[in-house]
Amino acid sequence: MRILVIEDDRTTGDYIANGLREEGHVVDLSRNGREGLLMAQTNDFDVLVVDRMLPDLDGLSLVRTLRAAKNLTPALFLTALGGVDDRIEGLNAGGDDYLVKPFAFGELSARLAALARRPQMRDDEAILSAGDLRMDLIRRRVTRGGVEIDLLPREFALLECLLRRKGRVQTRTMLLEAVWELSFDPQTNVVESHVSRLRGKVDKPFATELIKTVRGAGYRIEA
Amino acid sequence: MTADWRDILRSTPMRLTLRLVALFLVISLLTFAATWWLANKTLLDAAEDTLDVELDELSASGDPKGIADAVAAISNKTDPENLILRYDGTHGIVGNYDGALPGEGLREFDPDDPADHLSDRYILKSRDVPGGQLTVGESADAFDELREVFGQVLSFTLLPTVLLVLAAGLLSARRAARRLGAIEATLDRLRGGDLSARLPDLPGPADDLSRVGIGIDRLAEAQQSSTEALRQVSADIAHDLKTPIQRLAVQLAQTRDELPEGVASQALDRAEAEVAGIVSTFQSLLSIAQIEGGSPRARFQPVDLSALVTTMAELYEPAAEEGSHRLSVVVLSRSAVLGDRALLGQVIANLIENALRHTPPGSAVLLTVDGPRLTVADTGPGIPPDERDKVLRRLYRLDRSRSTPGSGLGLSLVEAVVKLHGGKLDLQENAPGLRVVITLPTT
Repeated sequence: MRILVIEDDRTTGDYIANGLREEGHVVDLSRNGREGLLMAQTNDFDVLVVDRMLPDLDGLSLVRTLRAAKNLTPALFLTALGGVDDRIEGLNAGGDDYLVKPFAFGELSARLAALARRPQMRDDEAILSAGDLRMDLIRRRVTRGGVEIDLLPREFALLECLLRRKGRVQTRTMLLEAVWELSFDPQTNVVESHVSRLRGKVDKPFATELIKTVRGAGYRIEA
Repeated sequence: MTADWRDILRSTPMRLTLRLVALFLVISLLTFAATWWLANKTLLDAAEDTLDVELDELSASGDPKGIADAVAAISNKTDPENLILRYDGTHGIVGNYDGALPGEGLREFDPDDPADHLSDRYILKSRDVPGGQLTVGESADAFDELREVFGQVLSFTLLPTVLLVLAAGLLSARRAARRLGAIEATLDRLRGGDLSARLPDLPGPADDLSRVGIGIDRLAEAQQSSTEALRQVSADIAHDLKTPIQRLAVQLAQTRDELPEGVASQALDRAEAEVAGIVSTFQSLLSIAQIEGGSPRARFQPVDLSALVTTMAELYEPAAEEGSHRLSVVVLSRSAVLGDRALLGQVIANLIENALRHTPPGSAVLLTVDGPRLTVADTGPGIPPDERDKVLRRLYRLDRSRSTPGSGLGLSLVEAVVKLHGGKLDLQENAPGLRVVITLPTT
């Protein structure tokens, strides 16, 4: 992927850029809003990482300007502010996702992957599968190696979310947003508890583990 | 429209008008009454004088015969419609009227026999004279004319004046009501969190109302700029502190990458957990500041409280079970509340987390939804009554909960969100345990 990172803080910017490069992405780094806007307008990026507070031109105005010029490159806002208003403000300005500082690199990487390759899996697919696991979305049935697995509705939704983005990391907050439609920061490991229940049904009785924990990030089902 | 008019009738200018009209009426009626009484008395005195003169002349002879002759002589050429003359003497009645004449002395008399061609009313005076009683009566037409004139004066001056004043009052009340309506609408918008609301240019002169309006505008401006300053300061603090925290997190992650697996990883875990704790406390403080700074309520939407509570309980159920807690939801009645779903979700999460954190394993946590009222009851140690106010204070923690994790901001955040929604937060005894009751406004 070709990624543009617009972040004025040197340490954070370098960290993001280096981390993404290590993952095999091509990364351009800009340290101020005006320069960042110019780079975004003149090059074709797969995704933008934009800090909200930037010298010269703030992140909101930057993305708004891009959107006004019909540039629809997915943009993820980095922000020190995490209020509901700020989130909505960011999304209204044309941002596609929102990450509150400080964030774990795994979270950023997972969200960027989700943004850039968005319409990867078709929504009208009736059967999702991974390894010997099959999910029938119409009959609401899940089997593994032919053995029927009985899931509660929320467990079904959780597994569906992981399967739809097979091969990519889903962070806890991403799952919270996708499965429960909640965007808040729980102090308790609520998502972990649900995943561990799901594992008890989907992984434990079987030889191989499908749902992998990605340290510092979230969960992934291998493609 | 009817409510509109009722408001106008209750408005200050209308009340002042009505009060002035009432005062004017009282004073006018008193003046009229006094004038009426005086005029009446003067006329009556004059009538009595005339009657006395008549009586004197008729009784001048001093003997019954002379009086009877005098009466007979005059009554022959006198129409009883103008003047009644009568002598009730020893030889019978002499005079131009022989009907009943009840009463004595000076009095009014209404003859009830219309066939006699009499006047409607008379002023009579009777006097005891030698040989009997002499009565002279003058028609009271003058009095009746006076009454008529008074009635006309009353209806021609008083009534139009009152009507005119009332109409003027109503008009000015309506105008004032329109201006007050504009002020009220602006205040509503300000209260609703729209601090950019200002009064429209009010029609009418620069009077006390427009001065109030200017005052409100200035107040709103001061409020807006201080709220904006607060937002700016929060944003600056957030940026200036979170960037170093981000760097710290980055350093920790890089250190972990650079060190061989296993070495010092426990120390790194602890350090990362501390960073997460700092971030969480900091985030809560920022959120409270932002919420208290007046987040616009314009964004509020109907939220199905029971559905949200059920979702939250379902989200926390496995975590509760891991700590051997029982988490259950009872929905007594459903109703939509007006609010921000994300903030309300955070409130419910904080309350559930509090209950799970502060109660021993095996305890039950019960969430009850009754319309717009949510009750979270646990069977833990509860909060002593004298400390219930303090726990809402920022960063306040009960002595015994120092050892449990948490920032001491959970309930402050809950209170801030409930206040923003215009709801009510109540901490009660659950005997044993704590019961938190939140009542939110419905749609």
